[in-house]
Amino acid sequence: MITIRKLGVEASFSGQELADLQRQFQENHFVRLPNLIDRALLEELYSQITTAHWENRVHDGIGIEVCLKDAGLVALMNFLLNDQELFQIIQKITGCQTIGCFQGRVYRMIPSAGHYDSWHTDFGEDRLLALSLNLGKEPYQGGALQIQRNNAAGLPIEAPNIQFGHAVLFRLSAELKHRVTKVEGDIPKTAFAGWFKSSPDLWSELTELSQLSQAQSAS
Amino acid sequence: MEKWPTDSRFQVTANTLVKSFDDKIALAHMQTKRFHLLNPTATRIWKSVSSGSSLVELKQQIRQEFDVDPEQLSASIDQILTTLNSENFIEIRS
Repeated sequence: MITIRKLGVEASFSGQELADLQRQFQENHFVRLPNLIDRALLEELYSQITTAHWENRVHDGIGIEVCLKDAGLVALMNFLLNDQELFQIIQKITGCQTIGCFQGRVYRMIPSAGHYDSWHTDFGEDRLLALSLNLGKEPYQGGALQIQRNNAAGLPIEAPNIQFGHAVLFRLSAELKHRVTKVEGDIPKTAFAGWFKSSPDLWSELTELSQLSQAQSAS
Repeated sequence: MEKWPTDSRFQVTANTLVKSFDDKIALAHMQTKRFHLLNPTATRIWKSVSSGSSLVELKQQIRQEFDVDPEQLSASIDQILTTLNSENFIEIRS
């Protein structure tokens, strides 16, 4: 169990639980991290997200979505994930190289709005792993993460994540592609998603977030 | 700059997010969304403040660690506490 709190990260695993997570990641290329952010803290962030503005974002050749426009709020979310202890735990689970930082965005896929995601790898630019944290309280239909080996036949591995505050951590590799399936029904999918990267380092990333927040306050 | 009573004790406000690593500390505020990266002196002060030391205890502790003029050090501490308080990262414990 990993919990991100206001004053830091708490983690408690038995040897067996850690071994199970390591095995799941090796076999399926993803693990679930339930209740990754402390519930009271998540509720505070959620209340800010519900009143924030969104803007269209086109990922060339990959997909279309809307992204949270409030740079300060996104910086806060990124601040929470940029934690040395969290990085060390994730390195233990996945066996990845040293994590320098986390960079994420809050996105929403709205049914019937033409939003979609296509197969892509996200590999490169120092990216090691990806994480998607569900920020929706109502269960959405579709919108599942799928992972598949490039050029592989057969069904992809599917990692649905409809519980509020639960996260999916998954592997990035030149040999693996992933996508989010179309969101159906009436409920949009809202998630905080991003990459754990080997570079820049943590202090550089926090400095960047600090500068972003100063620019936002000045504007 | 605020002149704090020597028996003042501070606490971290409920809106403060803290990251500690490699002897460095970064702060973020949930409402103002302002960030603060602490320098070594401010980091030392933060550790004393968050462990519940009073202002007089804090100044005694830091005086033993930093070889600088006591008056200058005291003024620096007051300045840092004033900044942290005005940014709502800390508040006087009631």
